[in-house]
Amino acid sequence: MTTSIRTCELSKQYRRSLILDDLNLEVPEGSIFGLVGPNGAGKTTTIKILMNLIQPTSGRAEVVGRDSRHLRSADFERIGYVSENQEMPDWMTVDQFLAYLRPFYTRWDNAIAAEMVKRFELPRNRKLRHLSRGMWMKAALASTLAYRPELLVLDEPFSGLDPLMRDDFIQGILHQAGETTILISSHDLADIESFASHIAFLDGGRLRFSEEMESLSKRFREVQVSVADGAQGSTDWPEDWLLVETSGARVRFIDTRFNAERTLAEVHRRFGPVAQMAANPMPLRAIFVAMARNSQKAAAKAGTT
Amino acid sequence: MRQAFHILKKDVLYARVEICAVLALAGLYAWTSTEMKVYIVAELLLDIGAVYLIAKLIHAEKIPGDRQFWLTRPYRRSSLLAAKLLGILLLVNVPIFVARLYVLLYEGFATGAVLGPLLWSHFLLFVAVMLPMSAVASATAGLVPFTFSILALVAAALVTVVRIRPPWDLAVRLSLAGSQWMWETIAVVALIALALPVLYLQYRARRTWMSRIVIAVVGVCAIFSYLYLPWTTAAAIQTAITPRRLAAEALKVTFEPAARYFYTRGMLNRGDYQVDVPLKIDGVPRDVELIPDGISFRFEAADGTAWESGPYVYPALGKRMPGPGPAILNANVDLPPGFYSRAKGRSLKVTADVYVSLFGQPLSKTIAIQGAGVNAVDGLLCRTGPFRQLLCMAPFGWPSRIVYAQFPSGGKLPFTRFISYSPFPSGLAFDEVASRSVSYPEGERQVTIISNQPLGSFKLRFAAENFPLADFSIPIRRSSRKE
Repeated sequence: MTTSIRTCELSKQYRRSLILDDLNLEVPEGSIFGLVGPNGAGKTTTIKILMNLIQPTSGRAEVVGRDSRHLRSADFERIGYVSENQEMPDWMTVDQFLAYLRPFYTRWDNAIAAEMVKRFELPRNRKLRHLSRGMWMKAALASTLAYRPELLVLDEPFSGLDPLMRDDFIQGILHQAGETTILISSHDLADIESFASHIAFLDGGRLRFSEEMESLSKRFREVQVSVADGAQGSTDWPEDWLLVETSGARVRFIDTRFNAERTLAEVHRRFGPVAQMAANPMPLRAIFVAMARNSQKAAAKAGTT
Repeated sequence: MRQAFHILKKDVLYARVEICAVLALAGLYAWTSTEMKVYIVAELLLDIGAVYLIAKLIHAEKIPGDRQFWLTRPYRRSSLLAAKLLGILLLVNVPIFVARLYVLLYEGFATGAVLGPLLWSHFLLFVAVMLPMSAVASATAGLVPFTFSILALVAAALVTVVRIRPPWDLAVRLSLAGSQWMWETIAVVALIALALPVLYLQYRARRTWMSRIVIAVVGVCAIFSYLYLPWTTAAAIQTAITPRRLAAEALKVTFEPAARYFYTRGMLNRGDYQVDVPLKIDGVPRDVELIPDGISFRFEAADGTAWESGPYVYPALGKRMPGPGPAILNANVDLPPGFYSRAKGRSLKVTADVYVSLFGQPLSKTIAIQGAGVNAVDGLLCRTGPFRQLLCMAPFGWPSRIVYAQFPSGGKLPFTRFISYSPFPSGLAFDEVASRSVSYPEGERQVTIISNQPLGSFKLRFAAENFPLADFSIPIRRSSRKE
């Protein structure tokens, strides 16, 4: 598997705060890679290091085959970056902005730029500072897609966008999918779920998991079990089980490595005969919430001990 | 370079209002300098406008921060820097150049006489003012932090000067007219030394904190160098670099006891003893004029105790009878009472290094005395001024020459002997025109401007045994309040 991005024990510390902690991440070439996590998880920091906007405290990152600290101007002909808080020359009109950027790129495609302007219904003669937030992001994306980057990095592109804008934006991204590797960080899990091929979950600066969406969807199940003898509370649950709740004869938990036979055997071993077991697939949002809650619980537990 | 021009084109569009403002202010400066002769306000406005435009151009692609769009676009850093410097050169430096050229030509100077000094002045303006401004702008993220940084740097420099207490009176140092340019050169070198590494660090690697440290370190080093450069070193450098057109061996310094003279002093060094060492310098050709530049003393008593004037004491050295040929000089130095009381009445050896400059081989031109400027020798432009004054002007500083006005009736007056020996055609000062004047006799219609060329700066060694200290010293009275 060739990778567009690879990080190796990447860490970032601001004074005493450890923002990123030994991050090892691989973004396969051609993938649409969703980087998710709660606020302060380190997503933006990771992306800024990848784009050489900030320096890591330790570890290294490779982007399109080059150490991120040594990315050259020519490398940015192959990399596109759109961020929710990027400053742009807002005194330019959309047309001026695109015309200004054109000579910087050997692969700039006027047809794509025009198509994006049309698709996004961008007002060509309006200054960037007078665009709505959604239009601003679309203008940034259009200026990035026009040179067909090999790697497209999007940092929280959906925040503050209304559903229609999001849909337009996603369509714009998907237009490029296939020939471009896309790394996208977002809180908007539902949208990510609809098109991401890979997903990584970052929490407290640490990578909790990183895998293909398909295997993640197969792996996570919300399990509800009715047991014959009544469920006994315990604190010693298997590591793969999250947010275990017992109530009478019912047990409810999230199995992070679901395998019907293995899960059934474990339930049987712990609770005796099983009257009924239902394992429901989980949407990404539910997985994310479960992971986040479990982290919070673990942190609270660690705090009390 | 193509990318640099592309960025520059964008910057022109971006800062078009400020560019127009600077052009208008340059025009205003030229107009007030020529038509109104009161240009201070226009100059100040032009300075502010120029600095603001520099900051605006640099901040169009600011360096500190991690949110700027250009950081993730294929900007070549060298092209970006080239675009900024080219912008500053074309949009700030050139308009000011044109305005100043207009002022000089309007005054009546010949283009050939002003072009060299003007180009040099603008080279200095670019490397020693605009580059440091750009460097500070590149280490700041906006106009407000830039302004505060400039104010903070000025304040820090002043506080440093006050805190470290200069080893000598700066006013005394300013009296070193000939080698004054060396201190200005230190300032220029320091500003360049500050600007270049900062611009390199910022545009190459975006090391803002490192750049700020460089600014602080270079600034402190520059202040120390500026304050601690001994005048003796400056004089020695001057002696070493000045081309000589006369053999130093011909010049001889001897003790001239008959010429004793004590200069009137202020209230400095009360309690010390003012000592005069009269000197005669032979070997100066009859048509060559000697200008005394400085003297450093060592007084050594027979018991071995000694006192040296050192690098930061600048004894008064004067020539009471100006003019060409052999010179009588009086060197007055203040001896501390401790050493004086030990050395008085004993055999005393005096040694000294005497720094002098010679001027001769004159160029001359006879011109009409008239209201309209007439080009004379060495780029001088002369015309009549108010109160029967013959006013001669020079572009960017009086030339390193002793210039006389000789009238047909026989009078010969020097414009000034207080001149700079700078090898550079101009300095950092913004004033385009330096002027000096002499009175001309009534009825004179012509004047010959004579310019004595520099023949070299020399360090002469003087030594005298058995110097009669008591006969050549007077006490410097304490203030009456203390008495």
